Amino acid sequence: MDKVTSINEIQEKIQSIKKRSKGIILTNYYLDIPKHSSWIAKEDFFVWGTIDCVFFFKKKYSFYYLFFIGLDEKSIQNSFSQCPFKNEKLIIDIIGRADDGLKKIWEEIGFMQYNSLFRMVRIGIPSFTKIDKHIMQASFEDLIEIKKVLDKNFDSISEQIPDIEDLREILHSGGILVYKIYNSIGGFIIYNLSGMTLYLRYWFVSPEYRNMRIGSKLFNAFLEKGCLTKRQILWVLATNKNAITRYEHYGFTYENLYDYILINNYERKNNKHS
Amino acid sequence: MKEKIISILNDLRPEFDFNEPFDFIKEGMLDSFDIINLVNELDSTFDISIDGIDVLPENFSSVDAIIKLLAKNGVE
Repeated sequence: MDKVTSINEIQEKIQSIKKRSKGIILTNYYLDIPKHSSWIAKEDFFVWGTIDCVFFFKKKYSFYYLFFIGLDEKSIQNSFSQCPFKNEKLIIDIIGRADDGLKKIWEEIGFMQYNSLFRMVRIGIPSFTKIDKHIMQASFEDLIEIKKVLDKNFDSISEQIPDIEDLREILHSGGILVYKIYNSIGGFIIYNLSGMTLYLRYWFVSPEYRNMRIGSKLFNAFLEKGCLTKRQILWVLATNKNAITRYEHYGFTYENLYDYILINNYERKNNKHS
Repeated sequence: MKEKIISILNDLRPEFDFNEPFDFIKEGMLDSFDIINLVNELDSTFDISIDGIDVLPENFSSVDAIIKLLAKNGVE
């Protein structure tokens, strides 16, 4: 297993598979140069492969996200069986339509569905009311607390929790709003504005401040930030029925786009030996 | 082919005007997940199979870029 050292190296690996391909290539890897350059700089992005298949591994907390680029089902299966990282705790994200065949390939290898998310969208310029005076842009001092709340209340495997450097970048772009009660954070909303699209990333209200309409006040402020956008998008855990009902209340509807989170049998194996 | 592509884009994301000479990615009209849906539509409309590794934002940033990608897949 080697550390990935450059974007060129990634492109070369992709090309080597592509040259051998006679049909379509199977992958869950989409090159994102800024993001993957940052992974390379942090030295937590690894590669291993055979002539038919390349795997990339991104370290996160106690597990690795696994990305694959393979010629076909068989090459993925054969290559993975030789992979020295196969017994690590591995997570695969597969995004696509509900009947995606890639999910089945990995289930046959022994991965299980850990969770699934789907995308909801609201079309149109958002309407909003006056912004509550307790809502403001987060400061650098707020980041540590926000990070703690994210780690405690969101699922690190399914919800891709940003690390502190990511949060700093989001803060720089003005993408974190907090609701302050005296000096405490009563809640926050993290979002991303991209041209005509507004993305909701995390929305949280502290349990002790619930039933004070802080959540809806934050959501109103979020919509105000996207007042020039034509659509608003979010991903929600398929099991989070309360959140789904709330998003529907705000006019969000389902799209036929799923994110399946698959996990290998690391836990089962380790429990067996403990 | 251009009209067909614009029609697919308009069906996929009717809230945006794909006749305008915007960079679809920079303007937030298409994100990486929209591209996945778009690839499915292009595959079935033109009876092709676009490679996963060609699913790069720059191949979908304009109608001309999509035409180039289709040409690479044998669509005339």
